[in-house]
Amino acid sequence: MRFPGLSLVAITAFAAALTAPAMAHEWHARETPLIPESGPASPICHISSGEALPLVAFTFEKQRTRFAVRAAEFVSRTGVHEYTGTLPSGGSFTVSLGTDTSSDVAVLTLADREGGLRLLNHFRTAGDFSLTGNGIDIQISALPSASSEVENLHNCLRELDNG
Amino acid sequence: MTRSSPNRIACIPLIAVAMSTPVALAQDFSPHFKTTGRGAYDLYNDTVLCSAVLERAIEAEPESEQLPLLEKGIDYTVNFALFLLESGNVVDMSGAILAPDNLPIDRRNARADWQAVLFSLEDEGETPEAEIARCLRLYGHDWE
Repeated sequence: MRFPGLSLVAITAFAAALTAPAMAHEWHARETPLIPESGPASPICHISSGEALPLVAFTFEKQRTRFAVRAAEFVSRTGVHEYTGTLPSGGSFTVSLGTDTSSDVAVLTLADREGGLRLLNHFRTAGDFSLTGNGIDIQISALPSASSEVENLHNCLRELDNG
Repeated sequence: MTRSSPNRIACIPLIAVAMSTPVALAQDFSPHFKTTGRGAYDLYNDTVLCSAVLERAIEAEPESEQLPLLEKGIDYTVNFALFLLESGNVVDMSGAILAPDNLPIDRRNARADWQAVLFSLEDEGETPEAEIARCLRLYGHDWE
């Protein structure tokens, strides 16, 4: 079958687009805290699974630790309570996440830094992450291990505490 | 040797006050992070961070009435950041001169930094509007 209007170049480009890999997840952590110039906000350390959505992230201030997920699916959710998730380590959890059902960002403030670091440890194993509930089903397949960036995070946290 | 005009000397503190006003007015988490004292490096970092702020603003609201201005701002910040890097004057804290090759990774890191700030703002029930406005004031213009 011939497609007179379709050049070989266009077909090749189309095929390449189809086979191009989706943006990969790649963990990233700051080595030093972000320090605001002014205002009441605190210095922040963070680690995240990169730019590809859905993404998971942890932010650490001196007095506060947050776990966050950003996903396009969130904007169609029906509530914020009783999400169930599985972690790359194989662990599972149930949480309330976020407050604004129109936002693509959902944040959970954890009780303390140790709780955040314990949760982060579940991401030191490569594996699948999922979050379901309130009409949404978020999946990240084969999320790489966060281990390579955790040392950066710990350097940042040391500076955060000493600063 | 030329004598400095007293007027010129008097102007310097006034200019310094005027330049610092936007920072002083920012009451919430500003993208204006702590400066290092390395002028070109600080300017470069702020430019790249504003690029991330404006990019995220479009992602959050693709149909925004401000879309043309936001796109102008992104174009301006990227060109200005490249201009600074090409000048060879952007020296980081380790003393290394940053090259144009640094821009993609710096933009990625800035987006990650800004995302972390947005998580904090979201959790506090605050919006990034003040930061977007500041970046548009600085960079929402045609690059020439």
